[in-house]
Amino acid sequence: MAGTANTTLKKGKKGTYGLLSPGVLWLLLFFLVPMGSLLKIALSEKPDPWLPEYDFTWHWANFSDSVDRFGTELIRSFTYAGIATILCILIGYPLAYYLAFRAGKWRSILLGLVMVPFFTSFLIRTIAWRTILGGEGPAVWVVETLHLTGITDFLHITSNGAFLNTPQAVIGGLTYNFVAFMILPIYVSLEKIDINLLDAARDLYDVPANAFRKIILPLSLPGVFAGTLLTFIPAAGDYINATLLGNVRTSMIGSQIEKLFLSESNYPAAAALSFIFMAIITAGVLLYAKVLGTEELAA
Amino acid sequence: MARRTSPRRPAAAGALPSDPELANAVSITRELTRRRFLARSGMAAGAALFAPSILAACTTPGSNRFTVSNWVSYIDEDDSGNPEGKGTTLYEFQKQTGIDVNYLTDFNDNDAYFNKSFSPLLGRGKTINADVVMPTNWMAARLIDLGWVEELDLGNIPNHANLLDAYTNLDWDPGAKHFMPWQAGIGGIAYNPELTGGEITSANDLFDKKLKGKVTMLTEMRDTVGVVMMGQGSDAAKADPDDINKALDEIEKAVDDGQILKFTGNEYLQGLEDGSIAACVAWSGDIYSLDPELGIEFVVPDEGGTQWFDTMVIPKGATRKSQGEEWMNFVYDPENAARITEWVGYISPVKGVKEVLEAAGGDSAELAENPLVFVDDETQKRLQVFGPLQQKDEIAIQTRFNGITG
Repeated sequence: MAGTANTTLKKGKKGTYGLLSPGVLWLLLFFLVPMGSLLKIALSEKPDPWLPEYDFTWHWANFSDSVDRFGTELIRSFTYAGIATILCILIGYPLAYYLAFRAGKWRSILLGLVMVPFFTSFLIRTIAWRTILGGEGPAVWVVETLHLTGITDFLHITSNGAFLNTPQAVIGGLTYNFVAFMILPIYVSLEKIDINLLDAARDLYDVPANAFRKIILPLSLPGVFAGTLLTFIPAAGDYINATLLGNVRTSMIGSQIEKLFLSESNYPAAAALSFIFMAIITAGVLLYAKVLGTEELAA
Repeated sequence: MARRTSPRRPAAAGALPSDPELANAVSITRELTRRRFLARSGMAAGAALFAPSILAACTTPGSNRFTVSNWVSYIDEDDSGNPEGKGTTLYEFQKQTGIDVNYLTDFNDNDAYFNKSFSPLLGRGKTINADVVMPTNWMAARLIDLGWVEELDLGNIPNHANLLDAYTNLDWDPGAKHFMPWQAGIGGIAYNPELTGGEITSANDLFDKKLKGKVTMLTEMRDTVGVVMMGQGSDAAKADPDDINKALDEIEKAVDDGQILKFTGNEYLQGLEDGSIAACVAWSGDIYSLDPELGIEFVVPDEGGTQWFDTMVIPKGATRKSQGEEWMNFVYDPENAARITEWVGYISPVKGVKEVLEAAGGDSAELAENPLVFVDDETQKRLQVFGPLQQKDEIAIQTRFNGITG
């Protein structure tokens, strides 16, 4: 598949660059230039925190200082985002599968329902979870009424009977807020699969599990890949969930960057930390693409 | 003020609409306050999180109109929630003076405004897009020290005489020549007697093991540290870095022990309502806005609480300075100040407001008796304004505090 696409592109190389130019220009202006200025600040010192003057001194210590101070938060951000992404796959894949192959005439309605939460702002949806998970909320009531607190604590769904203000709530919030970004790409890649392939597998006496493993799963991997990026990256950078649903030990990297900028007036450290964060994510994405194989991506 | 008005964090939590029946049950004053609170928290949270002010502050070309930049929901509004509706202070000001006011509510965080607007613009000798801004006392002191604030022409402000004496002799601006206070408030302790199992009288009660995991403190360093410092017998007004670090030691230990659940903006209100918080460092006005049936108490600890106030200042180079002075003069008229107090429920720095409210009778007179709005002498003695900090101390302390609050 990839091969055919490439041959067609080669024919009109000049045209291709022409088509690319708006995108390239956009990236230059709104990505590369700001990145350059961010990098410059990350390597600068601010002699007087109150004044807007920077000395560009190749101050690499900004980077090592940031890692020293915020190592915990960095690890925590990627851990939470990683767990949330895995949960999103576990929830999103079966749902997308159902939507693509089993939903029948309900498909469009169900797809619409996946999108419905987006009619409300991200912030409001997250705050709503405070009410649901809070001390007087329905979640705690159900668990306490059924005397399940011991079990939910054991399963680490609750901490000492509380849902709110726990790491679990933060990860749950991340999963909830980003799961749609997992469902949709997987759905799209599943929906493209030619159903005749499955019929062919059956004709050849393959068992359904094998057909899934050898046909559906590989063909849907690009969707999983795209979904992972769309989920993991924003989840790692998010700090609203951590702030609203977490406690004093659940803060993620986003809020630390914000504090450096706005509370400590330390632009260089904030810029350096942002850079480190982006570098780790970029490296992670490249590695992930390598492992999953780029050929599927071209499909 | 940073605090209640505007959750520097997603404070909106406390803002979730409460049961409408409950809302109806409370008095008219309470309803007003409640509505103010709802509006403020929702809007401020949005503003704080998505920071539209970064754009407003940096890209808006100089407006041709007299511009006031205030905290969200920090002035009286009409019944439909319009701050410029008929009969409001802004409406009356425009009618009486003929000055067209561009009223903004983009001042949602002292540090954020400083780093987005004051420092990058005033620090480069440019002007900002506001003729009057409302920083909290310590930020006003910093701005005056940096020379980024215009000196007021007191000749244009005859009502400056109505400023309470407590404000006219501060170290950082003797005679109050660069600022006029807007509203003031108290940092103390709020608690739920059902959960604490009794009265709380001391800041040290926050560290009582009985309350483990049910205590919160504010992300506003000066209030949290100030209350704890006074509990340790230190003077918040002196702001000695050693004393502050001693207080931070205690706070840090409490975090490590799991005593403190989290540090919050005003979303602690929801925690108080739903029972996940037993006691917390809190702002008086917030508690005043809660439904009294919840039974949440607010105390100024025996050892003392913090007093803060927001100021009106005219940033350097403001094009409409004299109109700014006219505005200050207007809101220092006791009648106008009383109208604002009645709506916002904070402590007014203007002489004569209490008398105006008493004379008005009804709910207004009741407000005049409210000890959180008109603080009695005995309580006032226990309040301290957090003292000034040297820049390097302030950065070091704020950095350490940020490390503790997570």
